Amino acid sequence: MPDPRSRRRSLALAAGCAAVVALLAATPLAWFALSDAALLDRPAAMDQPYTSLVPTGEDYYLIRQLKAQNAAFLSVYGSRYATPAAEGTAAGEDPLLYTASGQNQGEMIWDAWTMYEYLNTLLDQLYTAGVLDDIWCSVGKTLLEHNGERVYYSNDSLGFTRISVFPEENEYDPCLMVVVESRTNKLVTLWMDFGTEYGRPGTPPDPAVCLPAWTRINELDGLGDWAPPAGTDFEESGLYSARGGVLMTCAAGNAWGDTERTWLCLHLGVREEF
Amino acid sequence: MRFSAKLVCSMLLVVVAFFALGGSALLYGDFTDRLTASARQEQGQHGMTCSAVESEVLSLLRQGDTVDQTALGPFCSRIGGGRDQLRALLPTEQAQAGDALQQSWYSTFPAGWTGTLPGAGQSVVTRWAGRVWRVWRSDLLNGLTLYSAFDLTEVFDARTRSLRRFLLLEGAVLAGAGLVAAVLSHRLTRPLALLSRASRRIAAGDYALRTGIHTGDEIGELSENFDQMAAAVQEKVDALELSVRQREDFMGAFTHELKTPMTGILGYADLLRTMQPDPDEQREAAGAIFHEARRLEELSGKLLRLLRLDEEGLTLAPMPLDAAVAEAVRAAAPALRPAGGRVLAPATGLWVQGDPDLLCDLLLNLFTNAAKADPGGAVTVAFDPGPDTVGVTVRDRGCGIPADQLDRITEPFYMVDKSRARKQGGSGLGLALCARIAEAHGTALTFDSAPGQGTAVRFVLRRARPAAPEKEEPHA
Repeated sequence: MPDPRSRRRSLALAAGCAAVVALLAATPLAWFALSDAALLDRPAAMDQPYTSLVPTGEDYYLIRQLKAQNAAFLSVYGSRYATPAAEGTAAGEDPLLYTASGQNQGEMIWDAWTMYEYLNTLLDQLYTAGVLDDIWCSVGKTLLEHNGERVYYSNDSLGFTRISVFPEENEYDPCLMVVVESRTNKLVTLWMDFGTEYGRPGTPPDPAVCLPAWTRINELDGLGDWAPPAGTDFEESGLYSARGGVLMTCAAGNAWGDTERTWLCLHLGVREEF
Repeated sequence: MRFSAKLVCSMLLVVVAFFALGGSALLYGDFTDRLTASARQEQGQHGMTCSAVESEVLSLLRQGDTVDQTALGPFCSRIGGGRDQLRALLPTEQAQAGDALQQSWYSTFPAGWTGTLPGAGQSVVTRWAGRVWRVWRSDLLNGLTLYSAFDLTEVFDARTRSLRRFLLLEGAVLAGAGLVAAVLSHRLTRPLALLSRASRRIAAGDYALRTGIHTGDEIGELSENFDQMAAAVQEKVDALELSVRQREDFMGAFTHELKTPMTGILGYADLLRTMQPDPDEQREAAGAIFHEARRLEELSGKLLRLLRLDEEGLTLAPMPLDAAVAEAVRAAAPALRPAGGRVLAPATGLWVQGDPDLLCDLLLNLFTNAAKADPGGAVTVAFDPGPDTVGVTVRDRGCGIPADQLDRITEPFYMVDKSRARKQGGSGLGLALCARIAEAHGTALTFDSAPGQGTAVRFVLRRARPAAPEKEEPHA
C-alpha cells in the first residue's frame, strides 16, 4: 500500500495531468479567440483595390461645350481664333453653324437688374468657394455697384453667356466681365480692369489657392490630373489637365497708360497639348 | 503514481495535444478559406457598386447636371443591397472627418452605427449589435466615398457550430483514448507487476522462483535477466551454504582429527604417570605418544601450508619440470621403499611456469597417496606436452576410489577409508593441499578412478621458455 504522502503526490499529479489535458482540449477556443482579436476592427488593405474610372474631357459637359466653341471659332473665323490643336481637330469636320456673343454695348443687351443680381451672387459664390479672396471680391462688387446701370449681356449659340459691366456709356472695354456656361452656370472667364479709384488690391490672387477652388466649383476636379504645366509660361499661373485637354489660368497685374490700372483674369480654355 | 497511470496520462496528453492543435489548424484553415471566398465575392460586389456609382456620376457630368445628394440618392436607392448588405455614399471630406455616416448622401447603415470603418482602399471586419460585418471603402470620382458592408455573421456562426462539433468529438476521442490507453497500459505493465511480486518473494527467501515471462520485448529481456540474476543469487546462496557446510564439516573433522591422537597421547601419558609399566610397555607407550604427536605435527604443518596458500599470493616463474619430479621422487622414497614401491617418471626436458617447492609438494603428496593405495606397486608419471601446456598424470594400480566419492576427496579431512588412512598416518589434508596448489598454478586436479583398478590424477601446467639448458635423468 502506498504511503499517504506518495498517495497525495499521485493525486496531485493526476489532477495536474487532467488540468493540462483540459487546457489542451480547449486550445481551439483560445486559438479562435486570438485569431478574432487579430482580425476584428483591424483595417486591412484590399487585395484588389477598386480602380476608379478615368474621365476625359468628353465626360464633362462644360469641356465638351468649350471644345465645340473652339471648333466653331475655327470653322467660322479661321485659325486666327483657334488654338493649334483645335484647328487640327476641326480640320476634317463639317463647318458648324455658330453665332458668337457680342462684345460691345451695341452688340449686347442691357439688363441692369437681373444680370446685376446674377453677378453679385456669382461674386459671393466665388468668394465662398475660395476662388476670390475678400479683397478681390470687394473690388468686383465695387465695380458692379459703381457701374450697375451699365450691365450688358450676350449669348452665343452654344449657350455661353457674356456679361459685361462698362465704366462709361459706349465704352468698348468693360471693367468687369464674366463668361458663364448658361446651362450649368459654370464660370469660364472673369475679367476685371479698373483704376486706382476702385482700390489697390496689392496682392494678386494666389493661383495655388484660387485655381483648385475653381476646379471644385466647376466640378472638374474629378479629372484628377490637374497640375501646373511645368516649363511653360503658365507654370506659375495655371493648372493643366491633360485628360480634359483644358488649361485654367489666374493672372493679375498693373498697366500704365494715362492712368495706373489694375487687371485680373481668370480663364478656362481648351488646350489639347503644349 | 503507478506506472500504468503515468502511461495513460502521457498517452492522453499526446493525443489531446495533437488532436487539439491539428483540429484547430483544420478549423481555422476552413474558416479562413470561407472568409477569403466571401471576401472575394464581397470585393467583386463592392467594385460593381463603385463602378455603377461612378458611371452615374460621369453620366451626370456629361449632361452637365450637378453631382449631389439629390441626383445620386435615388440612384443609390435603386442599386441598394438587401438585409445582408449595407451601403453608404458620401463626400470623401466627410469620410475623412470621422462623422462619415451622419453626413452621408445615401446610407442604409443602421442609425447609431458604431462599428469600425476602414480607410480608403481598406476593409475591416467589425462586430456591431451582435452581428459581424465586413466593411469596404473606396474613394470614387468627384470626391465621393462609397462604403459597402457585408454580413459575415453566418460565416462566424458556421465556425462556432464546427467548433462545437469538434469539441464534442474531442471529448469522445479523449474518452476512447483514455479507455484504450488504460487497457493497453495495464497489459503492458502486467509483467512488471509480476516482476515486482517475484522480487519480493525472492527477497523473502524463495530463491527458486522464476518469472518465466517471455514477451519478446524489453520487458521480456528484463524478465530473463531477472531470472538469470535469481539463478545466480541462488547459485551463490547454494555456494555459501556449501561453504558453511564444508566449514562446519572441516571444524568437525579437524576437532575429530585433533581429538583422536590427543586421546592416544593422553591415554599413554596417563599410563606412564599413574602406573609402573615395564620397559617394553614404556617403550610402546612412548612410541605411541611419539607417533601421535608426529601426526599432530604433520597435521599442523599441512594446515599451515593451506592457510599460507590462501593468504599469500603466489609468484610463478619458469622452472624445470624434471627437477620438481626428481625432488618429489627423492622425498617419497622413504615412504615407498619399505614396501618395495617405486616411481617411474621419464625425463622430459620441459620447463613450466610454477613454484618448485609447491610443485614438489603436490607430486610428493600424489606419490605417497599412490603408495598408500598400492603398497609395493609402481607409480607411473606420464607427460603429454602440448604447444603451450604440459599435462602431468600420476597413476597407480591401487584399490581405487568409488565414483560417488570422487567429488569430495579434495575436501579437507575427507578420507575414503578413514581407518586405513589413519593407520597409514594420513590426515585427510593431502589432496586438499594438492587441489589448492593446482589451483594456485591455474589448473585443477582431475581424477580417473575405479575401485580395484587404480587411480589416475591429472593436472596441466603452462609451459615456459627454459632459463638455461638443463637435462634431467629418469628416476626409478
